[in-house]
Amino acid sequence: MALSDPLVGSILAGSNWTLVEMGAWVESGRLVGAALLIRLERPVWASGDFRDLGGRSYRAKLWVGSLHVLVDLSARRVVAVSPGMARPPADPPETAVDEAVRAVAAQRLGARPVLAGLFYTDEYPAGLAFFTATVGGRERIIAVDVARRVAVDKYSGEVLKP
Amino acid sequence: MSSRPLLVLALIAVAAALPLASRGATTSNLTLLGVAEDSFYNYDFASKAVSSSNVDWPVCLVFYGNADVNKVKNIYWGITILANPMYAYLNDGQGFVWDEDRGTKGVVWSSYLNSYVYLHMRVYAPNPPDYLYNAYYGKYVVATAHYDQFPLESWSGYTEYAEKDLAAIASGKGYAVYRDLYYFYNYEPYRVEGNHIWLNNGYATYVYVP
Repeated sequence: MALSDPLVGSILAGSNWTLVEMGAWVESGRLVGAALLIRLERPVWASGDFRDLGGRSYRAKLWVGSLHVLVDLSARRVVAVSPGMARPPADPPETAVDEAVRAVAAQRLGARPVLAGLFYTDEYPAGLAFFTATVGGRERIIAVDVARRVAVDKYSGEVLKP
Repeated sequence: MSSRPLLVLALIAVAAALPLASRGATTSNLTLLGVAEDSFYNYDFASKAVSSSNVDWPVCLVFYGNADVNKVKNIYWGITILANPMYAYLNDGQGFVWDEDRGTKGVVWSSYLNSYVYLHMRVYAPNPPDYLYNAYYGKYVVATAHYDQFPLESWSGYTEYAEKDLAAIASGKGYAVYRDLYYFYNYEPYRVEGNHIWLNNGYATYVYVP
């Protein structure tokens, strides 16, 4: 059922993948369906309307490194697909943001950043873009409000590698 | 005192499930643990109510030796304001008290998920003095850990992966780390409850703080 979902299927077609975890999805003590964690062998650029585990929907374009999928076993369909944003291997295969937006992140990072993802939410209807760069061995991620072309500190900082 | 702590925890009591309107998650493993004269529950809580239907995350880390809450947070990202407070119920030998904490939180690359995530740890001890004490652990604190989805925080979970990442960060900074040292009776198989993703092997990691 999970693999027959068009969005899940299109993402998994782009890379080898592993089903890392699978278990019950319960709500108020009642078994609703199945939960899956799928890890991709290499990032896949994806664009689509996603629905997270809490039921909220949003549009995003991003390099996907993993997927959370909820399958409603009564309705026999996928009801949530939540992508994990991967470290970008390269620029995306489409022009997702203009160079002025990238320049905001470049100024903060002191290096040419690579786009990891773009999320369209109620708070950021024109998009919140995430760029990464590694400078001096330290990886940083910078979020840029596409409409206002300013960095958003709440989502920006150094990325620790445990 | 930099050697691994020798005193094994004792299971004191299994908490009864009390009827309670709560915003927490549900476990069947809520238990009171004891170390010498001290005791604490093996989960934190979504509010100041001890109930198996009001838990947040399993206790999975102990920082001991000469630890206190802020010293432990400063190993990672310091104090965060970008998180809701949760609660632990602890007894340092002088009666139970509630402690409230928002934790320490930052972005990491998770090799388990091949994704960026927030790594979030809440650190608990009676405040003041912001640590527990006994002759075996010295000054110590207990902690819960989980990932939050980055950037939308649409789910939280994976205690086991978070514990391993926090241990690796501490080890990378030179701290002595004893992974999965003692069983805390809070094994949670993989499952999703609301936006809560459970995964924990039940063993807590110990970190020596000089």
